[in-house]
Amino acid sequence: MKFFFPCLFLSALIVLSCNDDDDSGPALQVPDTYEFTRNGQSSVYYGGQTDRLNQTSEIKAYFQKGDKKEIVLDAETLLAMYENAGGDGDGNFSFTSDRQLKDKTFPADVAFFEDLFIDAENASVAGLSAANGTAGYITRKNGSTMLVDANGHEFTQTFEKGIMGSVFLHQIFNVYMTDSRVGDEVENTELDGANNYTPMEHHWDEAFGYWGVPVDFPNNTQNLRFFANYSNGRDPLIGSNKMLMDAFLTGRAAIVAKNYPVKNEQREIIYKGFELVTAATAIHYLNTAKELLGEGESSFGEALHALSEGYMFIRALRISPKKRISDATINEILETHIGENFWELPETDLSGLDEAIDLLVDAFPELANVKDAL
Amino acid sequence: MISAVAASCDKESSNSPGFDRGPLLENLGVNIIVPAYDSLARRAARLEEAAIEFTETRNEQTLGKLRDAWLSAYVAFQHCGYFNFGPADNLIFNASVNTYPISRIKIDDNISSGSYDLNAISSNSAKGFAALDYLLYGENPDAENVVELFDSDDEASARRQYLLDVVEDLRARCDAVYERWSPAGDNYLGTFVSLTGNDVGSATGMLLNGAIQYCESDVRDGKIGIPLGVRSLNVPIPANCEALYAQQSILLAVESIKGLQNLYLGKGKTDGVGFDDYLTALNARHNGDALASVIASQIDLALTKIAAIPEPYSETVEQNPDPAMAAYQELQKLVVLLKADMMSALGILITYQDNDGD
Repeated sequence: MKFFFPCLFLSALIVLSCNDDDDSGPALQVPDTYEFTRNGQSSVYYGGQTDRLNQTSEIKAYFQKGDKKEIVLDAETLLAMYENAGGDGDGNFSFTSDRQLKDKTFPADVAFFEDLFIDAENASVAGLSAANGTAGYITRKNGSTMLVDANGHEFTQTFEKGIMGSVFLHQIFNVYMTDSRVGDEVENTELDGANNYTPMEHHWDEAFGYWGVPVDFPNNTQNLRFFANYSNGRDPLIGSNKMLMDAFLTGRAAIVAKNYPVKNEQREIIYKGFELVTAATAIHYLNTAKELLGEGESSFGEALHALSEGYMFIRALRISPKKRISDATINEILETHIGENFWELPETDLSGLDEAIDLLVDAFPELANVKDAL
Repeated sequence: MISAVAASCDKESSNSPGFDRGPLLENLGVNIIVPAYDSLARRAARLEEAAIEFTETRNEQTLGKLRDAWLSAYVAFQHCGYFNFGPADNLIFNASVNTYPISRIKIDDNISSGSYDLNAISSNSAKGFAALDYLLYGENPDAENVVELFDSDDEASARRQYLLDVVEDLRARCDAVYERWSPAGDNYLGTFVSLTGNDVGSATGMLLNGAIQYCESDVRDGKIGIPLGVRSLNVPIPANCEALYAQQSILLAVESIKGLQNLYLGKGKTDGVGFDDYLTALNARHNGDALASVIASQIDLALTKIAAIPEPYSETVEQNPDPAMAAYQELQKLVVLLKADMMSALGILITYQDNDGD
């Protein structure tokens, strides 16, 4: 409802300007890399997203020091980084920024992270060996230790995959790809203040920034970050790299050409592509966990690691407003088939994980042929 | 966009030759705003007295008095939140006394470490009314338990000090904003009543922008919508309820709408000139009816619907969301009436914008 009357006025203007374009059916010039210019200067900027990816990396590194018993985790330190106190996470970040993760978190999940920080500190301070019902350290296959909660969830993975869902996917799905940011009526003629981009261009670029790929992806697969890494990991089986990169490139070119039907088609591909990568990655980790659990006690720590990842990828599926899987099914998978307490899994049998995979495949039938190979 | 705004401003100036904003501002300032801040400052002072008494004599009776004093001051604040311009804006008053949800991490750590700076902006989530909610009720609000936390717990002494520091900070801030307004202090009241235009820097322009933004962000969203999940794909967020631990969310929300009602109708100790009179003088219409009474009725309706939400709100949002959704929808209609219809009729530009950039 903001700017109620001016908005009506503005949308009338936009409709008029659209009419100019409709007749000609503007041709797209889709580049090979994510580089767009206006008057010889780049019109792409997503520094805020890069800052948040970097903050996530540094918080993860802090958790990992706790895993290795190099430090005792401190909830207030984690919170200071999460809300970027003082612009440098209260001295804990290697760089300064006015951006933060907390205010971009899916609102219903802010308490999830704050509770996670408290639980992590308590587990780290106690310094016990992990057991069913006891938070503490457990050894992974490579001999290193990691800290898990009383149900066997690894703090580091729960944080990182949690942020990927509750911040990165949330921002792409519920903010930047929505009509209020890249819908046909968003400003796409006037530049945004002194910047070299229109608001619509910028919002599209900000969504791209949360993906974590280099501009010449997928030719270049160096330094992939967060979702980029998982898009690439699933790519041989589901073709996710080209699907998403083409959608971002084509959509951005369509915005430049003011060809909104094409832009809107690419939006749908982006929603579906990220959801598919998330679901396929969840299946990948459930498969990995099944194999590890089958190896017996020596691999149990590694299995907890894989389960922690898989659990959080499934949880991240909640975030899409256009999701192809229902909340009820997601909850059924998490609560019944995997179960909140990972320690209870090997006691019974692994059919719960098979059930979980089957429910995911039911929702994403294109994964049926590759579900065992993922 | 600018030209559209300019057009609506021009329309207004020819529209309201007959309404003198001087008496409106006089009534709002003298009869509503200053008394509301005065009442808050007095109740905050009583809250501080009750906190001192409780820390000296720790029992269920003194705790009960402290809790009552807290709620009484919290109710008074609900009438002041709308004045989010001028002194309150300069002092960042609303955020420094009523940020919620609080951060348990910060509060617990502040108590344990004894090291904190309540003036830091990052401390907003560790102080104010909501921090007192946590300290005086918390997750186990049983009075015996709370007294024990302040009396014999390992950190009892540190907790008492933290309580006193938080209460002192709150009282000082309530004093400060009152002092800024008071004719005996900095007399912002005098400035306020002199800004009789209807441009961006006028008293009505600043007051209505502050009040409507508060109504939208803090009342409709903060008190009702966000806990209900309207910003989170309908996933409720019970932890984001105001007065979560004391379970007084709805009582405070009702008080808040009463504050809006008084402001709109110009009602303080007496019923004076309000925005309803202004709209009536302009003969503003809404679908054939008088806009002044349409808005008054919508405030009544929102009040009724909010009052019908069962407490504790933190359970309602998960178990019985329908009455809350009904209230939210009436608040949404109210915001549209105020922000679009009223502001347009008055020819006042909305200058705030959701701060949701990158």
